[in-house]
Amino acid sequence: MNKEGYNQRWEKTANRRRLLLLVLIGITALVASGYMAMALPYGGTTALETAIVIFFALLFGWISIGFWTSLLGFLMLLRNKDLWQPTRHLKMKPLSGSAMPATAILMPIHNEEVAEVFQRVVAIIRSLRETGRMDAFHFFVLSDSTDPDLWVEEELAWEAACRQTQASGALFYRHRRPNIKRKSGNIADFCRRWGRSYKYMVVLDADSVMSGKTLVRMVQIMEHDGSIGILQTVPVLTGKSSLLARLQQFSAQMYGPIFAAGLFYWQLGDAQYWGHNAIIRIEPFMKHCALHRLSGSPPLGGDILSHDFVEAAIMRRSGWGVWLAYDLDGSYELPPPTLIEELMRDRRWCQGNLQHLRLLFTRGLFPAHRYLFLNGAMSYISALLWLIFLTLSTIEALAMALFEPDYFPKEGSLFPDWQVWNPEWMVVLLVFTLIILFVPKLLSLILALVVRRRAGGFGGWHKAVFSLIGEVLFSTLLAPLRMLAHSRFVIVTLLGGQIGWNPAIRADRGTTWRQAFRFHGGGMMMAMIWGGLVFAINRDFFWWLVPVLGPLALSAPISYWVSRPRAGRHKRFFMTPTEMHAPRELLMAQEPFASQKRIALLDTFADLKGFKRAVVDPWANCLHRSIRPKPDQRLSTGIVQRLDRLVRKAVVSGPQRLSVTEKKQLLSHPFVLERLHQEVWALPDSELTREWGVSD
Amino acid sequence: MIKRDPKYEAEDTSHPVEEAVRRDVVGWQQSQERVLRYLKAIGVPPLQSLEIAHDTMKLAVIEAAGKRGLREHPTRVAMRLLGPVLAQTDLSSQALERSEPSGLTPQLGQAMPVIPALHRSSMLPDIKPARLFKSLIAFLVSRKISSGQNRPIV
Repeated sequence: MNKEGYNQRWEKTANRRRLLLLVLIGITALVASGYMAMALPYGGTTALETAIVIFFALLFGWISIGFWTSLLGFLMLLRNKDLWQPTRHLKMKPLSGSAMPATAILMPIHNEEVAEVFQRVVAIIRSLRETGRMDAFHFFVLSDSTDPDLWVEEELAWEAACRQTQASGALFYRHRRPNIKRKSGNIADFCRRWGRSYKYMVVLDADSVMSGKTLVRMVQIMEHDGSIGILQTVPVLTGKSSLLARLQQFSAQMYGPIFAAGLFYWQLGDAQYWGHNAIIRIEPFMKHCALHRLSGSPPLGGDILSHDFVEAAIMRRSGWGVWLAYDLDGSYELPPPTLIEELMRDRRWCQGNLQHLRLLFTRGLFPAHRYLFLNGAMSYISALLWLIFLTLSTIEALAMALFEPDYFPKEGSLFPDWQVWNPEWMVVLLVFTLIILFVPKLLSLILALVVRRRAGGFGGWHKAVFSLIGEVLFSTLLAPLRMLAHSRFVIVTLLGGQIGWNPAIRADRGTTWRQAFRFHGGGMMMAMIWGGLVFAINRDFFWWLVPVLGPLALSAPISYWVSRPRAGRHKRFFMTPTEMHAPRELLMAQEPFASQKRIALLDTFADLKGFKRAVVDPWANCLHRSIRPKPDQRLSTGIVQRLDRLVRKAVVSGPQRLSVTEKKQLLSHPFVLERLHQEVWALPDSELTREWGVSD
Repeated sequence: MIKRDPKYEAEDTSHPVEEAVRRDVVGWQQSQERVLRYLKAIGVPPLQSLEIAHDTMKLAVIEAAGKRGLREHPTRVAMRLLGPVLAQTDLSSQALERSEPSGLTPQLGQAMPVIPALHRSSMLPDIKPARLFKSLIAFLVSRKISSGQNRPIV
């Protein structure tokens, strides 16, 4: 069957499934908002109550998407097959045998922990080598690092990784100086330079690990199904030890499978691309997926931050399928170690997703991708809707307590208009909401423990059940904190506030009290004032708000506590299959990197890092100069004089006096670095030579 | 600042090499240590280091003696002369303890390719995003577009 015919077939199925989902969500939201209207004193007839009901309907519709997606995913996994599964042809296919096209594995990095990144690179290469298909793959570490010290460390680590894996000629490193368009620009830069040499590229994140087997399988799927443009795997969160990280790892591995299957059920070939742990057909990607800047300035204009969703939409628009390989394992990533780090990441994603609203009506996009744009934005806007809903409910409750009810709102009416709170309806609604929120978790537990019999992976039956209860409690506790932060991000972004490109902090360092109070202090104050006011005026309503305002008032201690690395070390709960039976590639990714061992052996420059090491260590200096591309043309006299002055400044004043820009300038010119190396080594013993590290 | 040993300052000596050493004993000791440190840094085995350092220091002292009035610091002289001495010495990669492919010349890029050969092509944006309201109006008034490949570009 040709690509067009195949697309039409799955599109028909997808349309049926989406209609079913839409009806289910609509009915759920309608019934719930009906109950809500009935529970309100005026039956939802006043302007305030109408607004409350509308916001409630939107929010309930939003959470029921997750419910129905999970339920459909659960049913699909019970059946254990789907006609459209991209992996369906792989069951009996051997890893070796057929010829494989050239595939590039890209790991774009930006001011990351160098040793950890290269640990993962080495693990992936070793895993690939074990499949016997390494010859078909080239690995590119594409650095956008702006820190000169990290730049040098990355080069040293690259060389050490080449030696350790004997992958010289298959493991490449490129440092890009102008970081145009961030990660998407880095990938596009690769495509322009080397894209034509490869048929596929696997895009990773700096914290990604993938097994060699999975990489080979992905190429085989792409080869078998020529209509797929992007194949996205579901990365499993693993590898961190803070309580927050362990909670996320547990929920991703416990609830992730049914949710991913549910997404697959209704998305089919209109899936999302999450920007990493995915394989892409390079030719159509280069032809169609280059991104324009959005008109206007950031935050809603400028470079598209969350490029992945847009690339998926454009790929699909060009006739290529975007599929989610929900049943392909061997794909991993790290969770954020602290709550503040998670929220900072969300801040970036919030800005990116709100930008997508500007692309909502771009002609030619498929409705499913328009919905995904809206869905992405709603992930953050829903928090603001929840906050508004709570505010309106509070106003209603305070108004009821402060003002005399008007029993005859219409003049001349013979019968009074009774205003009655119906708490029993509220209780029904609460139960209904709890079902929507927690039944998917229960289904996940049934799937893991009963259907798949994988209790051992979660530490046994008892621990799995208790961990699930604990996860529910913690997610209830953390939800208001996330809600308030996301609401703030939406408001700040809409008001024109923007975020820079700060590197992600992945190390388990915890949060300090100072950081916690600085980040959450405003929210704590707000919650205490809000709670105090409601407590003083309408005490009955106060207790309804406690589950939200309580955690908010304790935001800083909660944030500090869940982010502590030690808090997650009691491994009695929140165990995961990747922890209990760690896959080989993850174990390899935890082995100390060779360059660390080497530094320990060679004590001469053990204390020197980055820029200083490139200047002083003859070998690091030589390596850096050999890596830098030779200049295409002779430098102008002005530039040469400026570089001369810079060398003099470095020699006379020492490394501490050099700015980041000056260090980068020195590193950018091999002949300048060589001269600086000679000059520093020729300095007579003094405080300066000790500062450089050439004398004791 | 060159340090001088006052003990030798006033002494009259007829041999220029000895005089050059006496003039700045501390400086020459430092230069010797620096040369040895550098050789250690590039991974030259200890015995070979001593030989190279000896040759270098000998040349440096002779040069310093010949330029009595120039006052160049011994470390600077020694480090300047170390390069040519190393160039004349057979420092095969096997001899170096650090087991790196080459000693001091930037040839690593050839031995270990940092990037593959370029295979350039272009990647130009397909869609130019219109402004939100403009695209909304276009979306509302436009006819339904058939699904499939190469949908029209805004």
